[in-house]
Amino acid sequence: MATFNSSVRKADNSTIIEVSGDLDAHTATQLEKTIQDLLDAHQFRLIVNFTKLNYISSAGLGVFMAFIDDVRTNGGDIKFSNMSEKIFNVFDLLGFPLLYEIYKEENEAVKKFNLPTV
Amino acid sequence: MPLSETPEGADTRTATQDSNSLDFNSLLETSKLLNSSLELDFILSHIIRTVMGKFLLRRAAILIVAPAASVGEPASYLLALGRGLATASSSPPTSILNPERFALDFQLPLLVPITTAKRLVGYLCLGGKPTAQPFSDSERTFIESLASLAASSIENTLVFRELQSLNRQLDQKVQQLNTLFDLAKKYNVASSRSEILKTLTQSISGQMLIGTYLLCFHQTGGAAISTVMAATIEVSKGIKPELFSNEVSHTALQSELETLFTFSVPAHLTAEQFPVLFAHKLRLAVPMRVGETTCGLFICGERLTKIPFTASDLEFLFSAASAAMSAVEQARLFAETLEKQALEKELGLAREIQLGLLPTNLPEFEGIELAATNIPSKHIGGDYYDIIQLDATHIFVAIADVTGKGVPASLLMSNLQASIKSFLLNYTPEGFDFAGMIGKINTVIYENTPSDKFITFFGGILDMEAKTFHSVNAGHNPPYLVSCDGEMRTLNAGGVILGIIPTLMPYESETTALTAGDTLFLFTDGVTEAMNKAREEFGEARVEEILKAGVKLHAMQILNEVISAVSHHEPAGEQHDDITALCIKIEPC
Repeated sequence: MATFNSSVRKADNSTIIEVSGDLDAHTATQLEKTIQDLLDAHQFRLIVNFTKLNYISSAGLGVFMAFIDDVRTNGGDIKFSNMSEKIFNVFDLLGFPLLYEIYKEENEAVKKFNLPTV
Repeated sequence: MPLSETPEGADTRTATQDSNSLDFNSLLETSKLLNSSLELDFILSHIIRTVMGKFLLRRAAILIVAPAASVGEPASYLLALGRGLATASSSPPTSILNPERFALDFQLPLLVPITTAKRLVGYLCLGGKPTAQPFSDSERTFIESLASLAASSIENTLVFRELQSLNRQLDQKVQQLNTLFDLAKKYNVASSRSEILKTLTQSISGQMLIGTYLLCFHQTGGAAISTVMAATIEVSKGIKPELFSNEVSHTALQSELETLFTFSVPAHLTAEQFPVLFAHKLRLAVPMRVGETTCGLFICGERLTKIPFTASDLEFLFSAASAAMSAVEQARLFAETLEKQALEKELGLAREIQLGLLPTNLPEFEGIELAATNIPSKHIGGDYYDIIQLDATHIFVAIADVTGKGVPASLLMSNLQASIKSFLLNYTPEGFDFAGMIGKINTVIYENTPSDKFITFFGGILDMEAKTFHSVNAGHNPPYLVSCDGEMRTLNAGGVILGIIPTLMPYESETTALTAGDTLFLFTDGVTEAMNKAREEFGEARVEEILKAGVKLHAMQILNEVISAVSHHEPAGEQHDDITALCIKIEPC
């Protein structure tokens, strides 16, 4: 059985979700719950840090699709950072860079959220 | 040829020679460059620079054929490089369908096709010379040479780009297959319908970047076939609630969904054919098929990236949706099987309990033989028999058949048994009102059961000392009493079947004197109504024949004769009712 873990921490204005292990059809529900809890707590500036993620499937990607409208309607965003080349390739293949901001380093995304909203 | 002889001509020749040598140098340089570079932009800008410099042109452009989106589509061109094209009024287009028109619009009077041996790969478009003179033949030859040198490089680059694009498509295909594989794994363990559908929408929205979708199913489980089963939208995301609340569009929506349910392959939704769905930004319908049937629909909007769905995307969606539908179907069948197994287990328990209510060991007496058997049918039935020793000289004997089969029959049978046992607790040989007891039991059964449930019953008390049998028959198949010399009578005194009407008139009873060699044979209709292949019942006559022929036999032997005749009569494995029989023999003759 695939293992997956996520942990949440604050960085300035942003909430960082660090994901690790395999994010697939089995484990997608865990991440979904984590994000839903954050939205319930009115945390809308989310950064997903992929440093320790080993594998992502479409179901995993679907989790981000499921929340992006809600988050943006509330003036927030979901940004991505620290993807390995393998993980980035999957996002890139499916066209995610057109819809989501992807940063090399987490602090770049944090800085972006620190900017006054236009 | 002596040069000095024609100095004028020589001058001209020298100028031409110089020009020619410059041309050759340009071509040579170009050729070297082209061979060493795969960078298309570099090659193109070199060519543009060369012609613009040589002819002092202010405008030039190179068009390159665009990769075909699909086979058979007319060729279109991309503006690969343009110089001096921007005007105040318009900026140059990026995609060009008609190169002649483009050349006209941007004042590029010379249009030189760039061709390889195989195909046209583009155009070199040049503006007019500052002198406004047309290009001379030799100038055209130079330009054409340049174009043909560039052609194979452009071709190489195009092939390289196509390969890159194919590679990317291949990667996307691999990713789609990975997703399908992932889904298949998940479906194997996911048990509930909602879980499966959740996984499907999650994966599809992630894979295809779809933010608007709905899942629609035909409601199943309608009792009558004629019931119109409405298509029901079960899951939706990103769809305005008006789609579900607007009464006016409801019928129109239903009819659009019904049309889609007749489709066997994914379909693009048009405003003309599907106005309601189209108005809600839905653009694609994917049937969810199990075998030859469309059981559900996945309907979605365009991609958030606006990139159109490719044939391969449709294939992916179709596979994913149909696999989910099969998984849902399997989950349903699995749940049904579990339910059925649970029910069967309960029925098995009920049957065990029921069989436990029948006597396991028959009491033994001197001068009397007792034999009994109960062969239950496949289903739990409602046959009952009992032999209870009341005291040193009295035995209670009963046989009964409850209407129907299954749990209701078995509950009623246990109710009867419990009533009998309670009443018999009060048994004393002096003044025991047996017929009165049957009357009371009838009232109990009548009060405890619906009117369509009843019991045929025969019971009696055997007095071993007085050699009498005191019996009541409540609508049961009359038992036989056969004497040693083959004389036969039936025991009929009693009253109505138990449980139909309350006891208004007391049950009658009869007391029969028994002599040595008498045989009492009690049975249920499972014996007489056993049918052979020709649908002939075993019947009373066959029973009577066996009993008369067997007056000299022991009780167990008589019983076995009857049962084996019945089982010969009835085809194996087709016993439809419980078979119960009791045989009591007073001292063999």
